[in-house]
This record gives sequence, C-alpha cells and structure tokens, in this order.
Amino acid sequence: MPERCIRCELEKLQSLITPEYILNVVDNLPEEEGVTADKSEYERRMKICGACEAFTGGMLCMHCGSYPAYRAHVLAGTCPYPGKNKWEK
Amino acid sequence: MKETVIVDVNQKKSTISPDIYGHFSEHLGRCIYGGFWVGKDSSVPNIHGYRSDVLQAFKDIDIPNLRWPGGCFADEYHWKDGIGPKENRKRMINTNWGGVVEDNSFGTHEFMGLCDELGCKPYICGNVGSGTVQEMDEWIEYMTFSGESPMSRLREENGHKDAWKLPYFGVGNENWGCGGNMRAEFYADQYRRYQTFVRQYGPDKIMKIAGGANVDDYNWTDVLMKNALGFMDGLSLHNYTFEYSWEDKRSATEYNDAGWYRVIKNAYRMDELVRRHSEIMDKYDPAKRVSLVVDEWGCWHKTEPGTNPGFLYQQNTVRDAVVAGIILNIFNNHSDRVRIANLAQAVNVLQSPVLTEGDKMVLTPTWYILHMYKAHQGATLLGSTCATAAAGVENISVPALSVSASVKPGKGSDTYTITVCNADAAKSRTVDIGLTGLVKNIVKAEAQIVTSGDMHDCNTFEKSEVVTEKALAVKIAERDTVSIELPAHSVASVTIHA
Repeated sequence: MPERCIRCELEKLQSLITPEYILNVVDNLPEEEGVTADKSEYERRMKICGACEAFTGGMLCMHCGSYPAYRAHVLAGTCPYPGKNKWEK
Repeated sequence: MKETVIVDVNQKKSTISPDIYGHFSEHLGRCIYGGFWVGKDSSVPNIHGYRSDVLQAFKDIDIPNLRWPGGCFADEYHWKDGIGPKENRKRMINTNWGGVVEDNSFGTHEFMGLCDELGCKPYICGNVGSGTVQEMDEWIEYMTFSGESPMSRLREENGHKDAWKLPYFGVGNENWGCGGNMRAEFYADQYRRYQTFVRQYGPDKIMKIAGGANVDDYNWTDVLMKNALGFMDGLSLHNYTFEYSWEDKRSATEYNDAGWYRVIKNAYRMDELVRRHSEIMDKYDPAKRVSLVVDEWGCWHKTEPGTNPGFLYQQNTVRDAVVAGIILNIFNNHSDRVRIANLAQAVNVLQSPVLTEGDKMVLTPTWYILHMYKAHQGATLLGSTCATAAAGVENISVPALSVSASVKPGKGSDTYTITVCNADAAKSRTVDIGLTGLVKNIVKAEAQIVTSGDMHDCNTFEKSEVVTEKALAVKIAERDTVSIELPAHSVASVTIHA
C-alpha cells in the first residue's frame, strides 16, 4: 500500500533550498575559461536578475523555472526574458 | 530482421474514445503560469491571456479534454479564491516552493475560457481532501446551473451569464495520498457522500469520476467497485513510468542501453495494470459501464539540472516518444474499458508535449507522437497481432514491437491507421503489415515516423527541430499487405486507404 505523499516530499525537498544554498553550490562549480563566465560577468548578470520582476524568492526565474545563478555561471547562458535577452551587452 | 503485423479488418472492436488523448494542467511549476497563461498584459503573444503558440500546439493535436486544477493541488484548491476581480483574489507566497506566488489570476473562468479557446472538454477535479461538501456543491452550481440561484447570480456578476457544460468531474485526487491519506473503505464512503452533491442541473450529463488506485493497488479498485459502483461513471488510475522508482529517479537525457530498456519495460507494465484493474472492474461491472480513467500517466525523470526541483521540469527524448507510443497503443487496445486518459502534464511539467522558456516554445518528441496518433481518435479499434522478437540487454527483455490498429469508414474507401513502435534501441526492422480479411485492394498507403539518429536526441530552445515527424516510405507489397523499414528506436504511423 502506498504510504507516501508526493507533494509533501517535494515540499520537504524544496524547503531545503535557499538563496544561500544555491549561491554556495554555484560558487563551488568548476570554472573553465571560455566555458564559464568570469566573476565580473557573473556578477553583472546577477545584478540584472536582481532587478527583474521575474526574479522570485531571491533565487528563481519565473520565465524558465531555473536558478539564474546556474545560467549566469555558464558563459553561453542566456536570459529568457520574453523578447529581450537582458544579459546581452 | 523481419516482423509481421496482422490486422484483422473484420475484427471490429470498441470505439477508441478521443478522450484517451487528454491532457493535464496543474497549478504546479510553470504549467499554468508561464505555460498556458501569461495574462493579457504580457509581451508574450497571447489571446485573452493564453499563450498563442501553446494554444496552437494543442489545437494541432486535437486535444479532446483538459484536466484541472490538479493533481494534488486539487485537494487544497478552494475555487472561490479564483473568481471575481483579479485584484481581490487571494494571493499567497509559498515560501516552501521557492517564494512562488499563487495569485489565483487563473481560476474557473480562465480555465473554462482556455477550454473554449482549445475547443476541448473541461475535466475538473474537486476538493475532497480539504474541502467541504458545500464547497463542491456550490462549485457545481456555479459552473452548471442555468436558472436563478445565488451561485448562478455570482457567476453572472463575474461576467459569465451562461452556464458552462462540465462533462467530466473528478471527486478528489489520489485520496490514498496527497488527497487525504484515506483508506479505501473510508474514501468509498466519502465518495458516495460528496458525489451526491455533484448534481446534474440540466440535460448535459456530468460524468462522475472516483479517485482511483495508485499503480497496482488492486484492493483499492476492488473496494471502490464493491462499495460505490452505482454512484460512479469512471474510476481513476495513476501510473508513472520511472527508470527505477519515484525514490530513485534518473536523468531524462543521459542513459545507456540498460536505461533505455528499463524505461521501456516499465512502460509496457501499463498493459498489466490496465488488464488487472479491468478484470476487477469486470467482476462488478461486466457490461463495462464504468470507464477506467488513467488520468495521470507519463515518464517521470530527474528534473533538469539548475531548475527548481519542485517544478518537475524535465527534458523529453526519443525514449519518451517511444514510451508514449507504447502506452497509447495499450490504451487503444483496451479502449473497451479505458475511455479517458491524461498525459502528465501539458506544459513544462513531467512528460510535456510542449516546453516554454520566456517567449520561446518547443514541441517535444512526445508532441509528435500525439500528432501522429490523433488519427485513432474516434476510430474503431481493430484486432491486431504481432509475434515479435524480444529486444533488450542482459536481464532486461521487452517486446520489440508494439502495435494498435483502427479504421474510419470513408465515402469511397476506408482509412486504416496502424501505429507501430520499435522499442529496439539498436536494430531496425522490416515490418510487413497485412490486412487480413480485406475484400478491396489497397489503393494508397503513406506513413510518418518519429525517430532520430541518436536515441538520446531531444528538442531544445537552441535546436528545436532535432526530433520531428517525417515521411516514411511505404511499399504496397501485395493487394492486402504493405511493408515499411522501421529504424531502431522509432514510432511510425501507417495510413492505408482501401
């Protein structure tokens, strides 16, 4: 007999994820020239996200459902804002 | 390698209900918000707030019905939160879900409007787990009562004078789990009580669907059929396809041959589940009045790296396409009992036909399967057999081919649709399809195929047309037989006019 509640388990998993947790994980991702964004580019992108209305809970982008810190870490990563890649220089 | 599929044109079976090809939209992740709904003021092209591209994608596959608002969400949804002026609707910031805002901007009117735009039937799931009988009673009255009453007046005040048609209503969801953690006997009694107030106010029937079993919980089906048969028109069943299990999910895109076959084997399990639940239903309902409603099915993989795990956003490869082909063949072949099914979920959640990101949209390999299979909707199932060789690795073995066949009568000729999946990860097959009992000659045959050179291929926002539907050569080998070359890991739809 099933004794689990999928929604409860997802909520429990979700509650462990905080902005600090995400930033810590991204800070520890490997860096590679030409593949990952350098520190100044990463910070420029995150500053743009921080001012965006789709940036939710200090860690989540509602236009793609991902954590922008991950996308910003990848040099080829793009901003999914409709009609306008806000990260484009 | 050569295989033979025999379709008996004289063995006409059940009608394949179009509703087997239904979809599911829950307030979860970006299925509703950002998926179907962006709001009227969005810069994303929309019609009355619904994304234009997503609407078109579902119209193109002839979506027959859409289930809403959940899922688990249904048993915590209070419908009055989602009606009236948007600025007055309840707004909740769920800190447990990454600070996601549920502002109830998508409610009953927006859902019914979505179904209107899609041209599909609404399938609404009510709240048993945390809702009252009065709440369910009033929701039905609000939606379907055309006379004078407090609820119909409220509907009119909110901008919709006419009552809506509500063909399908689910009385709770997964009541063995997130819908209240009930035991079968308790839920059967709760079902009897709640459904009493799902009143039919006009001539249009509301089909009442009881919350059903999880996977192989046959006792649940037995208890519900024994205790509530006379009060239901449908009984639900949920089953997801994992590589291993819910607790041990694996990548949607990275797998080896064993990973391919583990998922395919689990997809084939749907046949056993449908058969065994049907056998129990037959015991109480031999005339098959009550439908088996598989209103949550599909692949459940690990979420994409870097995405919110609670959003259940996953990619979709050739493997998912073959799974969809196999399971839809199973539903077709059991259409005497399975009359509604809903792939989980429509947009951006689990095995979605459509993925969105900002203003971009991609059609997944699963979408193309639904596009090919739509010819089965409303057709008459034909008996088909295929003594296929096994495919697999080490200790995992699956039937290489999966088949279903149907016919639609035409003016001068009949149209036969045969859908064939090749679950073999590596080997192609020559497949002869014989229409036994055919009096006329085959006059024309054509075929479409969904596959890709690499079984891991998928469509991304950067490369959106890697896996698509393409024409496949068909040879008319004899007056009643056609032949196709079916590549490894592929799904084909053969259309024969005779």
